[in-house]
Amino acid sequence: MLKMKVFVVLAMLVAVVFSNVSSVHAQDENPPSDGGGGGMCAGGDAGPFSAVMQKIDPLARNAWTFGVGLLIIVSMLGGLYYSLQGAGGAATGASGMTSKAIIGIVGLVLLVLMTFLLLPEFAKMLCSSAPAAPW
Amino acid sequence: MNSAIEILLGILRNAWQAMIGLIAIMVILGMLYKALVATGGTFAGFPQPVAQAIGSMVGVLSIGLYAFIILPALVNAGMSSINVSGGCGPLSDIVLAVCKLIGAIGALRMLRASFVGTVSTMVGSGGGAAGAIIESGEVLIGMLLVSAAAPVAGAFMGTC
Repeated sequence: MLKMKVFVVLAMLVAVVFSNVSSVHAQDENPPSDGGGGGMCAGGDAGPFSAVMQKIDPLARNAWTFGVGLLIIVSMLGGLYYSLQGAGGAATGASGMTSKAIIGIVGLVLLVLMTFLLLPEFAKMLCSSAPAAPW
Repeated sequence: MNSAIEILLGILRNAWQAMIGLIAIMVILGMLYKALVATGGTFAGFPQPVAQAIGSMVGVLSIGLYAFIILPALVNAGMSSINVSGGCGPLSDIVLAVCKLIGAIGALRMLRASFVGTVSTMVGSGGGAAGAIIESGEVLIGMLLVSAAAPVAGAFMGTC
């Protein structure tokens, strides 16, 4: 009974963390850009190709928003599934099931945090190192 | 003639900028897609898709960094070897401009191969990344051949 209470509290804490992280990053729906004339990572003028980039840029932003939304949905459902599994394991005394559920939740949290924190930094790193034409 | 080549070089410069932007977009979206695959694999409890997805994320980022950091250095090295040997005699300006054009087209070819490598790594096929590196090697060898052939051609035509 005590294990089940501890697990339910842990699951609620994880749900609160998920919802906070997802609400913060859902507001930031666009990938980082330097606001240049050609869109993302526009280190220089794309000339006649800027019309193409102006068509592709909004598509890429929409794809990013869609991917982030889908990631949030899948991770929330996964967290819910593992919470249920852990609660069921704690209720029936199956410690293996409970520990698998805890490991699963920790793995999900790590993956989502890695995606939401590292990917924008990788994008900024790529944009900052975008090379000019060598000729 | 030189102004025509300069106009062409300008267009190729714009194409380079556009492709750099496209590669950046594909790298970021590819990593997001693989993160989604990893999350789904974690949700379902299958470790293999998670490991494959994380490996693909690293691969996509590696190709992006190769295109952004290593490729310009390779192009600079190839074009500097052409510039040293390309000019002699009264046609030296035109020869140097043409050599620059050859270098620019080669650079775009390497960048296109990097783009294909990024996309193929994103979808899980391993051949694109190897193709990108092989094509870069082909282009470099071509540039080195041009740097060797240009003075020979100049001597043959009697301009040197």
